[in-house]
Amino acid sequence: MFSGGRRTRDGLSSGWLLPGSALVSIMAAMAFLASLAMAGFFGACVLSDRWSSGTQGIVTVQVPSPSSQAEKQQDDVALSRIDAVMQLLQKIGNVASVRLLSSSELEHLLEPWLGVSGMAALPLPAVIEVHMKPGSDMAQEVPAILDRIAPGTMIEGNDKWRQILAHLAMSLTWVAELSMGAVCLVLVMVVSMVTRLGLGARRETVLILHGMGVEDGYIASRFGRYMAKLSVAGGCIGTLMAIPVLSLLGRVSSSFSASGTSEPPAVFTHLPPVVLHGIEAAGLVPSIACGLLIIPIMVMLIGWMTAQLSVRIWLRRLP
Amino acid sequence: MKRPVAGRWNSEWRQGLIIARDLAWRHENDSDRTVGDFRGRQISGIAGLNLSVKSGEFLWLLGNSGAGKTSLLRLLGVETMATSGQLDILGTQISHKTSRRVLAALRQRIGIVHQDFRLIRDLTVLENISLPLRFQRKTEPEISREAMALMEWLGLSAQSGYFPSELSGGEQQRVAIARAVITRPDILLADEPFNAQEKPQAEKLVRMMQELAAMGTSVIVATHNAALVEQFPASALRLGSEESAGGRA
Repeated sequence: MFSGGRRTRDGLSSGWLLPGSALVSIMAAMAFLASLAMAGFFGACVLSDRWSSGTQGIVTVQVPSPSSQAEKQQDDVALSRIDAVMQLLQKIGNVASVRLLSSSELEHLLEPWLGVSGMAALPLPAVIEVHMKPGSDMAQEVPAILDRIAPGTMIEGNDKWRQILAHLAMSLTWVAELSMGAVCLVLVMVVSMVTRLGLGARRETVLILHGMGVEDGYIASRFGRYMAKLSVAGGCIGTLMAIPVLSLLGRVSSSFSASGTSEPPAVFTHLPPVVLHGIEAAGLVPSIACGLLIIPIMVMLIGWMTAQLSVRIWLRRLP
Repeated sequence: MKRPVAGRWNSEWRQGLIIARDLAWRHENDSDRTVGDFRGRQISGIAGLNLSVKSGEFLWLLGNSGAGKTSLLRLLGVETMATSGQLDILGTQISHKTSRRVLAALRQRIGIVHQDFRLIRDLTVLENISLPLRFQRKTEPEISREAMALMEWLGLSAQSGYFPSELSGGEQQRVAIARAVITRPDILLADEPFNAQEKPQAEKLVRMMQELAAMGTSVIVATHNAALVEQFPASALRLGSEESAGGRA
């Protein structure tokens, strides 16, 4: 059967098959929304990752009056409270590392609340950052032991907050995924509706071709190819329209990013430096820039597949 | 109308390119035997039809308006499915179970001239006539040679670049006939193919169809033109508006 390898005037010419310009505009709007949803998805993923792993397995121990002498235990030599706590924490089996925050780090942490001046006059506690081994928690008896050595020592587990933030980030990811799904669904509905309009406009021609023995696949592919062309055009326009918006959002939200930039995906190592500079200049996170490249392809595939399927379903009514 | 004796009937049936047994067609929503086709015209149902058409046979399809001639041609052209009964065309049993690919391949071997011509309005005369050959992947020189020869024979050479809307009814009908016969189909089905033609042109077209039949094409022509039927005697199937079954005259 004829497969469309060469151009044939068959009455299904694409130029006036469907209202092309209107469809490109709709596709562009959908691609624009999909780009925003995709950026939201990546952003939520980054936040989820950062909030999930950033404070995972870290326990903060506050030791008031660190220089004072610790309560004496059996066979122990006299130690300051902070040294005694540090020594004990290092002996716990599931602790990966113990780090005493320096006075400058402490000042930096408290600066937003206490300001720069006057901090030295306050009796600040020593703060120890305890990194637990992966998958392990602080033993339940540790707080009591620490309290016996250095009364008033407080253990603050970050895990509770981490879990709340992780749930929040997960919810954001779901919302972004739902938005992407909704955009795709609307896209499918629009393409399906427009394809049916096109079939209505070309009904007689389709019936004539069907009666001549033209296979469903040929007719479906003619509609599918035309829809794919319009979709990719709309997809590109919509994605390009989204770049300035995402760039602006990226610059605004950069203050939330601790490291400022994230590592580019492996595919970016193959890109010419000019392109990489362009992405950087646009203020786009590499993963979002990578996702933006996929949007026109995704829109094209949805357009092509939906049109093909719609035509095939319509033709099923004929013998 | 006489039915052949059983023995001869059976042996003849086995040779048929088209075999119909107790064939019936009625639109799903048909309550009064008539429904509209895709342009809104009324199409009549048929019931209990037996038919066998051999290779190279020329058959007149006769009957009053509403007798079901168009319905039968649509059935034989695999444009619709029988409500009941059995239909074999070119060795393929036609049913809802027959694959769409097989049905499409079958349609390519059947040329149909519709009463309403069904020309593609955005294509020129030449493009309309050439279309079946293009779908058969013939080479451009071959397509051009065949189409030009046919157009010249049918007196359409001067109109090759015209669109159907620029042609008279008779010319449009000849384009439809040319498109149906250009592939030299195994079966040619024509629904009132001469009603827009002058007498000499109609006679010329009947002769062409009989020549096609002589070359092996089974030709079934539905007509109201009694003069032509009388002038070119051949087997005839008469569909009665009162009777449900058709019979050979």
